[in-house]
Amino acid sequence: MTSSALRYEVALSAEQGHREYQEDAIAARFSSRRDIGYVVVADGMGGHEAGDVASRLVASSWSSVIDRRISETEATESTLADTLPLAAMEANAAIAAYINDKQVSPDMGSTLLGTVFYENRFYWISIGDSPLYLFRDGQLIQLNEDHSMGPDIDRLVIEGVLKPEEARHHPDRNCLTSALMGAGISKVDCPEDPREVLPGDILLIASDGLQHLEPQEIETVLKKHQNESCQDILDQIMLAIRDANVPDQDNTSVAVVALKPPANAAYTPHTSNQ
Amino acid sequence: MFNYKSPLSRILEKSAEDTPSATKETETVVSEEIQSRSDEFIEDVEAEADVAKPEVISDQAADASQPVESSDDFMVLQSAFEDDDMSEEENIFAEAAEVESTPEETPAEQAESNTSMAEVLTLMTAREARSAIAPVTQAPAVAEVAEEVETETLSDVLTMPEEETVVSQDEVEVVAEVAAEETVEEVAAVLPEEVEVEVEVEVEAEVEVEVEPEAEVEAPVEAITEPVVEETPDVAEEEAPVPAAPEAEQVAPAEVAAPRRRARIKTTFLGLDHVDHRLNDLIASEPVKKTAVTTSFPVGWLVIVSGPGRGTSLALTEGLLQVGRNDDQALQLDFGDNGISRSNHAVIAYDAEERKCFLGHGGKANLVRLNGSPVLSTLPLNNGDMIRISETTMRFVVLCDENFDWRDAE
Repeated sequence: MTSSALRYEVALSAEQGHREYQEDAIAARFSSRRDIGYVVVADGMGGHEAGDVASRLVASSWSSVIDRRISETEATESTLADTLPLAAMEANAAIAAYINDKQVSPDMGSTLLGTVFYENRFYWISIGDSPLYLFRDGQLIQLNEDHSMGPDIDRLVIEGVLKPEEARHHPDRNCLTSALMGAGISKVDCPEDPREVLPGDILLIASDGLQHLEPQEIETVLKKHQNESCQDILDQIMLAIRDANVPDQDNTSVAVVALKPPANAAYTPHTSNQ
Repeated sequence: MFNYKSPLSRILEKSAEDTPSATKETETVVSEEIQSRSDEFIEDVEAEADVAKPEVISDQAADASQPVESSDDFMVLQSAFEDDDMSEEENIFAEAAEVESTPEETPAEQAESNTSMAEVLTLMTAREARSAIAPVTQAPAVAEVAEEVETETLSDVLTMPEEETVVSQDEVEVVAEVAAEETVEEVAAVLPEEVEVEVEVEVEAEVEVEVEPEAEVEAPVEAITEPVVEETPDVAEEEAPVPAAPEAEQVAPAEVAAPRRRARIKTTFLGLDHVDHRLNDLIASEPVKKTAVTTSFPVGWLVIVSGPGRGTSLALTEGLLQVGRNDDQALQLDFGDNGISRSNHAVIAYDAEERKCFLGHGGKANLVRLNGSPVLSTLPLNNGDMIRISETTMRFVVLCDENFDWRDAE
């Protein structure tokens, strides 16, 4: 197991922004006994009674599969890691079932960003454009693939076809190239090997509403508040988004995860294994 | 005893093993693409599937309870992907579903609940025991078998002094559990598929009598599946008994197989880098065997490039081909990788319309990876793609594409 000195600390927030509906869903669970837990973010699309349903379906069915796996006492790390994509299949199936049962528009869908923490390592599966950021040593990097037109548009900037300013506000920027829609899934980002969480790391698991802030802006907030609790960090991020005052602010869901000394335990000097 | 379940609900069950009734809430999506496409190509393919598949399967699907019904089968397989439509096809893997859980759990459970394989097993056990013992006791007579054993032990020495330690954690777990009972099946598993059909019958019938003919048949087979085999036969004769003998003489036959098996699984993992220069020859000799039966118009091939069975090629024909360990699987991967489900771990289908092969997940609790990424829905296959199930990696090789299809010319 991980250190006795460090525990995962998590804070979640979901804001509707200026949108008519809340189409994000976010959920987290961390075991109090084992160093094991997950955070899932789903960003739905398709509007009222479609996008919101889709994201809830995805978040709930994905996490229920993971829940079951975690509850198996003998579940090993590799089993758990394999469960991420299998749970994503479940989630996709749940959407297909819903579309089929309710005879609703097949346009409903959702992104999925699921992260599973096991001891001091974490795995993720990402389908869509919900970002997973790692803040380490003062730098913010996005770990997961961006399944939107964003990367393609950025490439056009590099090739000189578009100006950076044009690219930033390109109408197709938020077009997804992969999502859970109850059908085929064109792209899946699900590395086999885990990443390590080091003390001091801050992970942001979010919907793309967070990207109303430029990465540098997020970085600035994190640099300033990195030693505070996850909840405080989260509050500062959400505040920054509100301050950005984007007229069409999207639903924004953010989870902040970090390894922190347990709040109740007086500072334990030995920060054991990482 | 066979519940009708969609592939995905079976995942559910396996992850929540004690809720066998949790089912229909989930639907398979994986195959929507296949399914929609197949609407067009069912008609086309059906006819040929009729010709192609039964031949492959019928010999092997001795168990009549497992419906393998030529073109009907094909249709059923297609529909199996739509949840409600589960029909006989379910039977095939319902059995597997009960047995199989997650890879980690699988080996142990399977060893016990291996009822369906029991017959096969006993047959195999005999052979296994023989091939295991033979080299020890009669090394000179069975040069080639000895060679196999020898290389195992050799590679133990070379690649894994402590046997268990080198392999990654989960492999070890699996291996360890497997070793006890499953071993027998594993070895056995390797043999029957590869051996020529006629020989197979013969071989299974005999017990400890005809060692030599068997050795001839088996040697190349083993070599293929265990590419680690590098040593020359001559050396083998001399050295094989040395490391193997102590174990063999002290322990009962069945147990002799176990430790050796354990070593062997690992050698297949670890020895992958040692390319066998004879591999080409051996592959060349393959088609005479099982592939010869499938003379029917391949659309491409799967070639095992790493893991148990490395060097084996499987011809892909039209129709929906299931990948699994059972001998009723059109693409049988029974070389000792028990992370592969008995049936329907993955499916491959050629779409004559698009002139492309597609890969789908069979809904097992074990992943199928295409070029490293998990297969969550039906994906098109391109030449050179790597498909991995458990520890077995296959390279997909195309024959039929936009430039060629058997329909193009008579």
